[in-house]
Order: sequence, then C-alpha cells, then structure tokens
Amino acid sequence: MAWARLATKTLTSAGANISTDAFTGNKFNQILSHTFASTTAARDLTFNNSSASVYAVRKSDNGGADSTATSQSFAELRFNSNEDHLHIIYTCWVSSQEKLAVCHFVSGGTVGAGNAPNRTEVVFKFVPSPDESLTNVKFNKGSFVNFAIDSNIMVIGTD
Amino acid sequence: MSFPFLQSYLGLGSGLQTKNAAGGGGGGGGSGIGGWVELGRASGTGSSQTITVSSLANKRYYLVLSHCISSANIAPAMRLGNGSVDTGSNYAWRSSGNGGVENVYGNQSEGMRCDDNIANDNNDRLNTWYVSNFASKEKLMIGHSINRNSVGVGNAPRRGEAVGKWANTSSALDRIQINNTQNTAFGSDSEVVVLGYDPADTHSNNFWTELASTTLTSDSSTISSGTFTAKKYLWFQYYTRQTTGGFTLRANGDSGSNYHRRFSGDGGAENTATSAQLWGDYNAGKASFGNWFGVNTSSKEKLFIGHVNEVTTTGAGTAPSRIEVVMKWANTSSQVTSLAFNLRDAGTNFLAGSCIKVWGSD
Repeated sequence: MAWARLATKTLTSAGANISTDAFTGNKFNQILSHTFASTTAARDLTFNNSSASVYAVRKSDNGGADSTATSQSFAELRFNSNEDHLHIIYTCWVSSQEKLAVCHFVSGGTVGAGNAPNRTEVVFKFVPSPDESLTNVKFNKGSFVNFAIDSNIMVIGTD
Repeated sequence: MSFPFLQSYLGLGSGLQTKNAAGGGGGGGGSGIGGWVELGRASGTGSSQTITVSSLANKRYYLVLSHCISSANIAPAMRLGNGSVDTGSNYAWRSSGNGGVENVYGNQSEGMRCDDNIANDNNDRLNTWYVSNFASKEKLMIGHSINRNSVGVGNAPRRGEAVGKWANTSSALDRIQINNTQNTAFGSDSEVVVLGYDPADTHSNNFWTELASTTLTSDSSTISSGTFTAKKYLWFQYYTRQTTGGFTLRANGDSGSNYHRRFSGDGGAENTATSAQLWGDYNAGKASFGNWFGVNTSSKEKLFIGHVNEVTTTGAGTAPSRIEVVMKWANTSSQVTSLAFNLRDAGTNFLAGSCIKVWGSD
C-alpha cells in the first residue's frame, strides 16, 4: 500500500495543544510537525490521548550524553519551550507489540542568523495495555503557555 | 502510474511470509491523498559548484535527497532562497561528524552543512535534508549524511548529522541549492531531488513507490523482501522481533565481506567494521524498528543512512536503545534488488509479525 495522508491539523488560533482528529493509523507512520510557541510551549507528545505511564524515552541533545526517562505519561520532545520546532518522527505499530519510534527534531534557537539552532535525537516507545492502534497524535503545552497559530502536525502512513 | 496489486505467499525458511509486490503511486489510505511528491530535481553539470532546484511550489515540508558525486574535494551545503538563492550571511547550523564534538556556526553565507568535522575530500555523498517552510518563520533544517570514503570495502564510510536554519522571516522558499563549499565542481552525475508535502495537498500520487512488503505470518529464521524492481533511491523500514540472538541484513543475498558500516549505539563510541552484512542488531535486542534511506546506482557503491530503535527489555520501565548508522555495499556493478534478514544462531527464529517494507524511486 502506498503512503497516504492520515491526518493533519493546523491551529487557527493559539491553543494549549495541537491534536489530530481521530484517524485510523497504519503499521508504518511518519509524523511531520512544525510548531510555534505563543510565548512558550512544551512539546509533550502523546499517542491516542494516553497519559498513562507507558512511555519510555532515550535522547541526546546537541550530541551530548544520552538521557533516559521511563514510565512517563508523555514523550518530552522539547529543547527550548520558546523556540520553533520541526519534528520528524517515524513510528511502527505492530499489533500486540510495543510501539516504537525514531525522532529527530530541531529547535530554532534565538531568532537571527547569529544563533545556531539546537538538535535532538530521540527513540521512544509506547506500551499501551491493552493493545491499541494509532488513532491520535498530540503535542501538549505542558506547564508552559500555549502553541501559536499556524502550528501544524501531519501524519502519513502505510500498512 | 499504477500497477496491479499483487499478493502472494512465499514460503522461506521455516515460516510463512506474506509478500506484497506492489507498484503505483496512488494514495493507499482512506483520505486518497498521497505521500511525498516530487517537486523538482536538477543534476550536476560537471562544471558548476552548485546544483539548484528552482520554481518550487510552496510547501510546509520538504525532503531533499542529494547524491553528490565528487571529481575533486567536495563539501555539500544547503542554501535556500526566494526569487534567487540567498548567498548572504543568513545561515546558522550545528553539525557532528562521526559522532564527534559538534561545531556550531552562525552568520554563514556558504549554507548549512550536514557533514562538518569530516574530511572535505574527493568522495561521493548521500544527504537527506528535511526543511520546514513558513514565510514569517525561520526555515529549519534536519540533515544526515554519508560520505563514502575511498572506493573499496576496506574504507569505512563517514557519517554526519546536523541541524540548521535560514534566518529569513519574510518569504517562503522557492528554490533549494546544494553548494560545494570547496569551490570545485560537482560531478555531472550528481543529482538533487526535492520532495514536498503540505496540509493543503490533494494529490493522489507518491514519489515513493512500494517495491516490496513482507510480513511473517509464522515464525521463521529469515525475513526476505523477495526480489524487487531496482530503483535509484531506496527507503526501507522494518520491524523485527526474535526469541533470542542477533541477526544480519544483506543485499541481494551477498554473504561475502563486501559491506562496511559505521555506527554509534546510545551515543557511544563509533564502531566501524568490514563485514558480511549491511547491518545487524546492536545488542541482540528482542525487537527493533529501523528507518533507512539509500542511493542505489549500479556503478557506484551503494550508500545508506539508518536510524534504529532497539528494545532489549520490554515494558515502559526501560528505555530503548538508539542506533545511528551509515553503511555501504561495495558493489559497483549491480543495484540492490532484495534485502533479507537472517538470524545468526541456529534454532532461533524471527517471530510472526516481523516485517520489512521497501519503497523506491528513480
């Protein structure tokens, strides 16, 4: 089956989260996200609106030593909360198995060509119980302010 | 262009594999809207240090594949523009080569590089670059690179990773340029392909055609894509789960020591090795998910960039491992037309549900 669009959402006003409408996920899914902060916003990613402690994350910021976070209620995919972010996420959803993801993202740094952006490499997994299919992707602002208008998230997939 | 959807069952090893050999670019999901589409491409002239793809449609996201053939020392960088390529000091980026300490640059005019800290040498490159594009926001870039090193299986490829930005907040981009910062010409068979994707898209076609899809329906010692149509650019993903032990990934059934890979696991020290496999497991994990891009030109060594999520302990109480890989198949007479996983230890099996999918395009 060819790649096809599963969902897209663009904020038409500032919001506490950016969330896709419900969709039917595939075995292989790619998430593209370009988000702006209204002052500040975390990029706390959840699948299927699940905030259970079912996420485990490993990441490296700017090439530094890996850090891990386990039994989390979201995957934290933020560098600086006030900066624009571009996320590229590949995620695999095999029935009855842990859902695995590979993510790269850039956080734009302070505006201006004199300021280099920041780089984060991530792998994470989502361990729902009982098993789930992918139906929703959401970035939450966490304890920060809001996402800004025109933030976008897209999902394409294929079985 | 579309082809009939074919489904067959191909028994390999001790298991049963569902194999789909499919073509066509139609959207396969309920939306009917396809995936990445090609917006433009350009080739090297053999006499220019830049390759520019112009008149690009305005898209929120771009994926750029650049295969730079060297005829002298090269160091590809990306520049963007609207109406003309911006050659001003409006770029900033950070990059790590071979997992080393990052270099950080601001106010650069040469563009954004993927492979700083690696030799600016006379070797072919494959780069993948994702770019965001919104007129009033700085354009952000995520890039990865493989530098082939000298031809020959004994020469380890090099890997680069970077992020960058074009500090333009007044225009959407309409051109993308790959600039050789070594001020020499790219080889004439170099190519830059620009793909795009946008929330407003309604297309039903795809740049990436599905070439192979195999899913184990019962346990097996092998997962094979089967033979697929040769394409210049490859994208493949896999999910493997096994009882125990490590595995190998090979191209075209070549079990000779004709591969060289470089990788880092969990941000650790680089490993390089000539081997009889394109890739294997990192830590004999119980499950792994890999995402790979490659360039597949018959007369050139085949170059791949990969990222893997490997699970050694199940449950949300343990984080998975993170592996960054580049690898080459030192074959200069054939294209990759099959990929197969084999377990290293007798008596072990991949478990049902393990799968591989391959997409490609010329």
